[in-house]
Formats: sequence, C-alpha cells, structure tokens
Amino acid sequence: MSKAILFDLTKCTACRGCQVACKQWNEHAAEETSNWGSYENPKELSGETWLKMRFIETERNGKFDWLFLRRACLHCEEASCAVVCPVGAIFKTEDGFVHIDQEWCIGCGTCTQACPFHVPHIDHHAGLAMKCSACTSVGYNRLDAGLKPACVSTCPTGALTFGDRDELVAAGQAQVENLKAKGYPNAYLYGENELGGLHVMYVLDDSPSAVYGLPDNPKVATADVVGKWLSGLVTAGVLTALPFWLVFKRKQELAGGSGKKGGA
Amino acid sequence: MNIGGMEWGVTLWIDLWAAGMAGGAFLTAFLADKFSGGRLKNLFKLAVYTGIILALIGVALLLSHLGNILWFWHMFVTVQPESVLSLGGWILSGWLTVAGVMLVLWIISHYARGLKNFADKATGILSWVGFVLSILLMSYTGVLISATTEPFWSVTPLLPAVFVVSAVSSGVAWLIVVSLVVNWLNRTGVRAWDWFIEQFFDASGWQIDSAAISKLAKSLVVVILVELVVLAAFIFWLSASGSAAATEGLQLLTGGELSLWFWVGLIAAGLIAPLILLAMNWKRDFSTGILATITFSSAGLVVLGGLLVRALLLIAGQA
Repeated sequence: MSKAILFDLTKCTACRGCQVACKQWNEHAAEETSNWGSYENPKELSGETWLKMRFIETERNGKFDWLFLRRACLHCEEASCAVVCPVGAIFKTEDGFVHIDQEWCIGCGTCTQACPFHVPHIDHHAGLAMKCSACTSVGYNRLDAGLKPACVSTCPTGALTFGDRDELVAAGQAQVENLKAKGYPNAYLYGENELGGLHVMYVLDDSPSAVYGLPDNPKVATADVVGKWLSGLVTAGVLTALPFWLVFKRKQELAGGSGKKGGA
Repeated sequence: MNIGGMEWGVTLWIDLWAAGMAGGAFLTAFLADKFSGGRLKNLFKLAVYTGIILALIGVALLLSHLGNILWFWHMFVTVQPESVLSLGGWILSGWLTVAGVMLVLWIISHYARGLKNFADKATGILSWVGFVLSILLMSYTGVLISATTEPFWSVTPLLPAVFVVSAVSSGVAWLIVVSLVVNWLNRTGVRAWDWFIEQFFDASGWQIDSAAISKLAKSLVVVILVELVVLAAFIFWLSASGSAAATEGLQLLTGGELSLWFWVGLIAAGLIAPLILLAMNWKRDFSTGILATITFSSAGLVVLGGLLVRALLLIAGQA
C-alpha cells in the first residue's frame, strides 16, 4: 500500500520539533550557522540537515503574513533524482518513498541538479548524496518497526500526518475545500498530481508558486532529453560537417599521402 | 557569487572542455581525411594521440569530481539508459577504447609489416566507430548539463548545440595548435623526440602538411561563424523563454558579474578576434612565418574560449 505524509501548513506553528526530531533520529550533527536575517535556520538543506522549516515573510491583502513551509524530500512518484542517477543508487521503496542507497552512491552530484525542488545535497565529509528517506534508512528504519517517521511522531499540532496515500489525498482535499469556504480561494493540495503524485503533500492556503516558491508544473529532468540529444547530434552532423566538406573537398591542394580512400 | 561552493565547479568545466575537444579534434581530422581522399593520415593520428591525452584528463577530472572516487566502478557495472551521466561514462569509455586500439594497431603495424594490411583495414573500420562516438561524446557534454531542472540550462534545447559547436571549434583549434608545434619541433630538430615520433607516425615523416593547416584555419573561420550564430540563438531563446530564473542567469552572463568575461573574454578574445585575424589572411599560407604565429595565437584563443564558454554557462546556471 502506498504511504504518504501530509503537511497542513494551516496547523503549523513552526516550532521546528520536526527539524530536531529528524536530526536526533538520524544522528545528524548540528551545523555552525550565522544569522542571515531570518528565523529560518540553517539557511539550506545539507547532508546533515534533511528537514528544515521555511519562514516566508509576505504581504497578503495589505497585511503582513508570516508563513511556514516544510522543506524536505517530497518523495516524487516520478523521481527525477532516481532517473538521472548513473549507478541506480536511488530507488523507490514499496511504500513509495525515494531512498538513496549509501552503499552504492558515488557522490557524482547529478541528483542535486536534477531535483525540481533542489533537495538532495552532497555531504562532502561522506562524499555521498543525502536527503530525507522518510525514516527508511538502513539501521534507522522506523516504518519496518511499525513507527511513523520521526517528524510526524513529534509534531505537536497535527500539522503532519502519516498514512495510506489515498486516505491522505482525501483528507487533504477536504481541508482545501474547508479553506476555500473560509475565504482562501487559492487553497491547493500540492502533490496530489505533480510528478505522478508526491508522497509528501502540502495543504496550502495560497498559490504554490507565487507565495510558496514551489514549481507550478515540476518535470523530470530528462522529460525532453530526446530533443536535447537531437540538438547536439544535428549540430554535429550538419552545421559542423559542412565547413569541412567545403574546405577540404579541393584535395589537389594537399601534398603527400597515398590518396587512396578510407585510409584513416 | 560563491564559485568555489558550486556543486559543478572547475573540475567539471575542464572535464567537459577536454572531453568535448577530444571528440571535436577526432571529428575534424576524420572528416578532413575522408573529404581529402585519405591524404591526411598524420593529422588524423595526431588527433587520436592527443585526443587520448585530453580524454584521459577528462576521465581523471570526472573521477576527482566524485564524492566517493573509490566507487567509480559502480558506473561500469550498471547501465542506466535514462541517465545521461551513465551514457556519457560508457561513451567516453568506448571512445577511449576505440582510440586506444587504433593506437596499438598503428604501433603493431610499424613493427610487424606483415600485419599492416590488417591494421589498416581494422583502423579504417574503427575510425568510423570513433567518428560516431565523437559526435555522441560532444553531444553528451551538453545534454548532461541540459537534462537538469535548472531553467538556465534546460529551458532551451540549444545548450547541447552550443556545447557541440564549441567542441568542434576547440577541436579544430587544438589540431592547429598541435600541428604547428609538431612542425616547429620537426624544423628545429629536437632529436630526443625522433624515436618516439617514428613509432607513431608514417615513415614519410611526422610533418603535418602546411596546406592542411591552412585548410584547418579556414574551417575554423566557418565554425566560429556557426558558433556565433548558435550562441546568439541560445541567448535569444533564453531571453524569450519567460522563465524568471533563466532570465536571471542570462542577466548575470550578459550584464552582471560575468559580463566582462563573457563579452571581452569569450566573444571578443575567444571568437571575434581569431575570426578577424584568420579571415583577413584567408588566401595566404597560415603555416609559415608571422602568419604561423598569428594562426597559433588565434587557435590558442579559441581553445581557451572553449573552456570559458563551459565555465561561464555552468557558473551562470548555478549562481
């Protein structure tokens, strides 16, 4: 059965309990950071920080608003990182979560450039790509032990829930309708359909891209790779071969050589 | 802008440049030899020998880029057809294998004359395989960058075209540079090289035909023109894409922190100046006297421009 995590940001107080629980469960060290003008800390995900809360300061209807968004792997059904991995180290678990096999990753960093959400990061100490595994990492697997992911278990407000994806989609849709009825016409369940369906979904009270900086229509990095190969091949085949034919066809100007064909 | 902190940094710029140039030099010499009726074997050998060195530099840098270098072999026990890096690893390995086998066959035929016919036939077939792999090698370097979710790289399909035409211009320029060096070494009689060179080149000598160098210089003029057109189309497409992130990268490249490097380093010094210098002397012999110096400098600038185009595009996409 496909599992998922639902994040309802209207219930989130940004206590960052999930952020700390993730660090504790996965035994990740604290990072030395510096103030960059926001409560948001650290500034970005890393090999040691797989989950962080984003603090978004914005103005809506002429009023200041402080919004909170969970930032971690969204566990895409069509996972771009898994497609581009040259060694097949990234795969999906039976539950639908995207997992990096740290015994097989070579640390090439291709996944870091292919993720539409810029989630995986190279841990330069370990030399490996790292990201949230939904607590399915070897030796740290909570799901096999019948537990929920650490972030969900620790959430004090019910903003994070874990369960069967179908049930969470229904719950998310109901909450979106509820928000619309309360005067949030742009409320949206992000992840219901994006990239084949995400296994971490967001109940948003406003536009995913304009307010929360999420891509409207995220794509797998290799979605139009055939056209890109053709662009290179046609250029090589036509645009660059032509000058050589034009210049070298007047072979009588050349000295030496046997002059026989195909003699490379 | 923290260039040192970029995931795809200087090792990858040089890797993509060296690998692309190896492919470009192979393609150039192969086509030049074929279109001239097989009269440019030495040029072709020079492209293969120096291309092997360039490709090995590319491989070394690619490996050094890996976070876990000791596990590089995982790439060669796995085939991931949808992964451009996986395909690229196989293409680069295939190219090196073909070039390496050609090198060995040429050496064998030098010592065992009885095997010359077999070696000639085998290298003739392998040269076609190498030609196809060279095109794939040049394309892969651009497709790898383009098959990401970074809008500056992915919003237009023209990035691989830019990389390919730049690989060809760098490859032609590289061949001009090494041909002039080889001929200079020959003229100045550096004897220490003689034995080495005799093992690898025809008994007829290791001189590269001066007419061939002039033709390479003329080809370079046309390829630079094509490169300028493709670059302009790439920039136009980016600016018309409507993607804020792509436009931001473009602004950085053409009007921001990178603009001096782009306009003066790449466009003026790496493309326009060599184009003018070579075009001005279109009907002269590019390989002797002061023109040889001008040709050498122009080609050298194009080679460096090839590195710059990769560096600038990779930085602009990650800044």
